Amino acid sequence: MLITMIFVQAAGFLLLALSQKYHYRNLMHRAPQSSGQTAFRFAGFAALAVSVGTGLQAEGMQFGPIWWLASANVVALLVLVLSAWRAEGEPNGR
Amino acid sequence: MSAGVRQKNAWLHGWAGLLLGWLMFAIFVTGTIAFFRQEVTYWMQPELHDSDPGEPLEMARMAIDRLEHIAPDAREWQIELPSEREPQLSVSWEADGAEADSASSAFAADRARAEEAAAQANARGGRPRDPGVAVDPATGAIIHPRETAGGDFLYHFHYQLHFMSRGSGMLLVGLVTLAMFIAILSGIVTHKKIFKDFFTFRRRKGQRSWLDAHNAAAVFALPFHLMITFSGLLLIGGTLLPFSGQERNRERQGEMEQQAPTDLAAGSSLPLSKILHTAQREWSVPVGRLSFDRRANTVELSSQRNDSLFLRPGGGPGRNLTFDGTDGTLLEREDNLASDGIDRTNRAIRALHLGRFADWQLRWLYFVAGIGGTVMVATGLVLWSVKRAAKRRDALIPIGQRLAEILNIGAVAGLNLAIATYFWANRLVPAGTPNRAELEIRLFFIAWTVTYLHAAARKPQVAWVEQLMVGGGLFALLPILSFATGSLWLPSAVASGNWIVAGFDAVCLLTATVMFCAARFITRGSERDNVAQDFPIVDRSLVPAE
Amino acid sequence: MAKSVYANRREVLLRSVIGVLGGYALAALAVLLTILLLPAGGRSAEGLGQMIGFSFFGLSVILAFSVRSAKKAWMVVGLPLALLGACYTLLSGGGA
Repeated sequence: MLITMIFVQAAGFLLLALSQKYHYRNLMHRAPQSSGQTAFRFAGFAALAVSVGTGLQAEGMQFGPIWWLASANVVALLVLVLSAWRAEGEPNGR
Repeated sequence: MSAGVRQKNAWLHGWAGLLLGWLMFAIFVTGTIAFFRQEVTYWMQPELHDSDPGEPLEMARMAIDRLEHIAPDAREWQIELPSEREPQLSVSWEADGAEADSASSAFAADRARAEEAAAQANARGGRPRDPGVAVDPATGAIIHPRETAGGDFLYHFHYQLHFMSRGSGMLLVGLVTLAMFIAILSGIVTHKKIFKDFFTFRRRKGQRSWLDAHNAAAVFALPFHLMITFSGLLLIGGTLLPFSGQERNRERQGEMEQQAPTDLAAGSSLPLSKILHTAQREWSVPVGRLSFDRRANTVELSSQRNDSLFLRPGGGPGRNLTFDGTDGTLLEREDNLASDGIDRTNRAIRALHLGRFADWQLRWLYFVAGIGGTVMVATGLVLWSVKRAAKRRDALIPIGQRLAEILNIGAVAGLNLAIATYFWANRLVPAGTPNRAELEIRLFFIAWTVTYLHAAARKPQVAWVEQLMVGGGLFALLPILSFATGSLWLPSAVASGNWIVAGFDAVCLLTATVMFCAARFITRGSERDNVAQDFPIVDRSLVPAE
Repeated sequence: MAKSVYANRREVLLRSVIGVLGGYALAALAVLLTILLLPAGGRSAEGLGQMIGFSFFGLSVILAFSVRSAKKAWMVVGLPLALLGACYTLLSGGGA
């Protein structure tokens, strides 16, 4: 259950990163389509909401939120590292 | 929010962060390590690394048998069963006024040694400790681990410092925490693109990179930073806001004075298996401690860790079960749960700070969040210097800036080096040295002082690199030092499944890597043509975009 | 940095005094008042008072340094301070 929460959370943060032009370019190495941004953002927040539910179910009302926030710290950091590292490969990246 | 307000808060953020930032960093580092304080103490007592825990029932039997030999006259016995965090079986006793030489002859020396060690530890301060020894669960051999302040030293340092009274230490830490609180709040106000820049880290952009790192470390763990700072304020609230008008009442003061030792219950007749079985049925957490009141002939079992945020968060276990010593019937179940909403909030906030409820997985995440805090403070301190360095074009360095730079180096790189020294001292100072716990602490402070002197003597860039390299080297070689001094080290710890020692060594290697990388980063930075001047020194987030 | 944000040192000093010292007084009053209003609360009233008090302190400092002028800072923090002070004097005086 906890593992599910972490993966869904990671997906959520990744989708949120993709909803931003700068990170989309970093991660995908091409220009984003303008219609995709809102969809990515919506899906990202939806995934985060699901992961909150999963966390609460796995660890309960007391420890669920603690787990969610604690793992969000690490997961968001991984997305940041991924974006910064992928940006290196792109010749015309910022 | 208007640009003016944001700019004002940036100013406040800078000064609140700088004024006590060096101490803030030390508190964050030692506090983060304190999440693993028992594990660190265990690592620092390699004598304990060889024994493997067994079945709780067998271990409790063995412990009772040993107590009957060592302290037959004691009015209280305690058995600490091995836990995830402290995998050794230990026993202790309380026998003030009684004859110490009542121990059977084979154990008299063990007892004398344990009582002297306890007296020394109590002279050092902290919560009073009963004399005790560790017992090998398999063989029943008595183990006297080397005397060390272990992780407790770092834990105590993070809220009461050292070389000063407990009261003044806590007051100083309280002031730092207030500054931290202000720095966090103003930091939130001043950070304009908190969501837009959420995942952004731009490499090799000089000051911009430092700011990105600072923001990421601050924002990702923002709930943690707010929680740890606010709860920290509450935990020393009595020192900062001493207006409660009531004295803290010392418990157990009256009940200590009792009659002469008569009729001490024998441990061997205890229906242990029934008692442990009942405890398992009553609780969802394992048993931590068994306390025997040998006059009343009762046994009190305490839970290993809390399973609710509303239990008493520290200063004793949250759940207790008291059994009759003769027939093993459950006499009393005590759960120190909060009574009302205010109390619940109060306890939950404190419990979150102490994190004693956390299992090992969550503990690691706490540790990572704490590292986030140290990175936040360190990058904040460095940013201040980088900004100043970029602003001045001439060679003239104002004395204040030079001082700030020296303090930066000693506080950030120097502290890490000093902690490495503390661990090195633990392996190198012979186990039997008198007062060796104090000696380890002294060596820590000597090393830390030297780093400030070194920073004052060398050019900043050079001092940073040298201290990071030396500190990193000390951390990198620590596992090898363990091996050389005959202790468990990373490979053998992994092979024998000792994850505490393995984890400690792995963190040392990781710390070393980070320190080497930082040194390389600084070297590269100085080789390129004054990086800072290539990029606008004015913090872009402070300037209105319109 | 300081020159562009605040007019002069006097400005900074005035804001610091009301923000930090005023904020601290506000926090102290919050603790005293909470204990006064919840006499049966004991430790838990003290804890609640500290929670409110530290929040007040944080708010005071941020406000004192954020508002347009030092004069306004004194008003924004000083007014609640006077109010709470009056409350405490009245309540504690009436009780004793």
